[in-house]
Amino acid sequence: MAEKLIEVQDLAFGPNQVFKIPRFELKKGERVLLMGPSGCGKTSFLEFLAGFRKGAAKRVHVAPRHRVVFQDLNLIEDFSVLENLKLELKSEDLERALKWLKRLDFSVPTGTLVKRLSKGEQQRVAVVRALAKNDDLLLADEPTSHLDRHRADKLMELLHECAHSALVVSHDDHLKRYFDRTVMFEELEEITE
Amino acid sequence: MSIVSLAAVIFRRYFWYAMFVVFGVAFLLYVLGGVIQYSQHVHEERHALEMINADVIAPKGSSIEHLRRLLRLEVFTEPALIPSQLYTTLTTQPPEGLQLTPVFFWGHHDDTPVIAADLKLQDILGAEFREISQLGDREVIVGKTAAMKLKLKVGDSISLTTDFADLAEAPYTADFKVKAIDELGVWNGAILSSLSQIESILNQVKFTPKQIWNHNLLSYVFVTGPEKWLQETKHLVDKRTVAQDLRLSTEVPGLLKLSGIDEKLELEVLIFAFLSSVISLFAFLAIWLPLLARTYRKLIRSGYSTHQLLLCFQLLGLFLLFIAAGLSALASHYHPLL
Repeated sequence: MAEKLIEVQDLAFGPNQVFKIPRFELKKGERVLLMGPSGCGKTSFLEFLAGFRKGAAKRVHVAPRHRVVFQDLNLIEDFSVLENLKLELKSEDLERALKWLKRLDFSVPTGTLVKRLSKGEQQRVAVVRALAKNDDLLLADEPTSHLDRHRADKLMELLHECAHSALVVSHDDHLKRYFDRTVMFEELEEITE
Repeated sequence: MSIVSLAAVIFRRYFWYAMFVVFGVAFLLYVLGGVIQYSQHVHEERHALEMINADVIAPKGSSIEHLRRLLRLEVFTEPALIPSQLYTTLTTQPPEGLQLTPVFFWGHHDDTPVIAADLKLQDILGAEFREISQLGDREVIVGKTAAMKLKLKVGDSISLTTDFADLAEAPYTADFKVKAIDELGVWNGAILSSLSQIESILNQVKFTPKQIWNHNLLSYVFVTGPEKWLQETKHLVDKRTVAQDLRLSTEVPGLLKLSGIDEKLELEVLIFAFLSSVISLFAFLAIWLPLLARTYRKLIRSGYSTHQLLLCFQLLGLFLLFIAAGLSALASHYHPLL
């Protein structure tokens, strides 16, 4: 039986614990796309799993070696691209990240400050940084929201290639083909009157 | 990225913010250094004032009126020198705790002032002016200007009058023999020794260390009449103005001011500077801290622990403090606040 990288039972989170999820699991080697309308709690759920949001649950297990792509990308805008990569990556991972950036048509010098980049460029840096860490699990929140279709596909191909286990939050139906299963957030939730 | 590298990157990327904060801290340290210097200075001067127990007076900048006032004081023991401003205060607002001694005697002949030497000063002054060491009772040295005006020669007799302005006593008049005619400067109506010669004399005068006049030495010396003569003048002294065995406590702020310290003004300036430095530092920090806080949050989300980041910011803070302290020390060295 495959190892569970995410296991949640009877979770309540969000303001006044308004979001309730009776059960959610993600097994090793599984890529899951989590979809749902804006404001339904997808990002909060992801932040809870990443450990940056509080909640109450009967059981919570998230693989300790996981990396996160935040919706706000979490890049330090006053630092250069290279410095942002170095913040999280060791030298061997850094080489891989730089190679992947080129593969994603990222042609900006790495000494450029992040604040000088477009949102799409920033997004590619953030995703590549997370992928290059080579952890057990990837949690990504809207990783392609600022990319055009062509570049989004390239990035998702890379993600599919490098992240064997991933939970990705997105609005984009087009991404479904890169995932083993798609979960609608409403289906996860326990509807409470 | 190691903690040191991270601190270096933060410093490099926020260089100007850091520099503004460094300048703010340096300014604050500079002002605090000034406050400490000021406190020490005031303390030392207050202590020095408490050491004054004697023996005054020949003021720089004194007018004839000052000299007259001086003569109204009791004749005491040792001669001494004080700055004129202090003397003015002492004579207009006699402080408690100060024993005053006039150290010169002066007289005039037909409105031309003439001086005579105090025997006690003869030892000091004799090396420079041999005539002074040879002065005897009822003998005077006359400056060349005065001698020319009065057509005096050595050996002539001159009648000198000392009057005391508003005192009830009658002017004192006595005959003196001109012992010598010398290059004496004429200043404020009184006859003085030339400044260049007096400077060397002053070098030989021993003062009690840290006494207030050490900082404000007058540049010339008055000499008094012979002891016997001084005794004769005693009855002319206005007893009402004599200050004996008094304490200085009530006059300390005034005396400090005379020694170059205006406590109130300097304190106000220091407080203003202190507030300015605090406000400027907070203004700089108000700009920089939100950026640092945002960076801190992002670093936490990037996997850095609170402990690591505290270490990093402490390192950065110490480095900036080191630079600020250096700048402050340089500023204090080349341009002390006080």
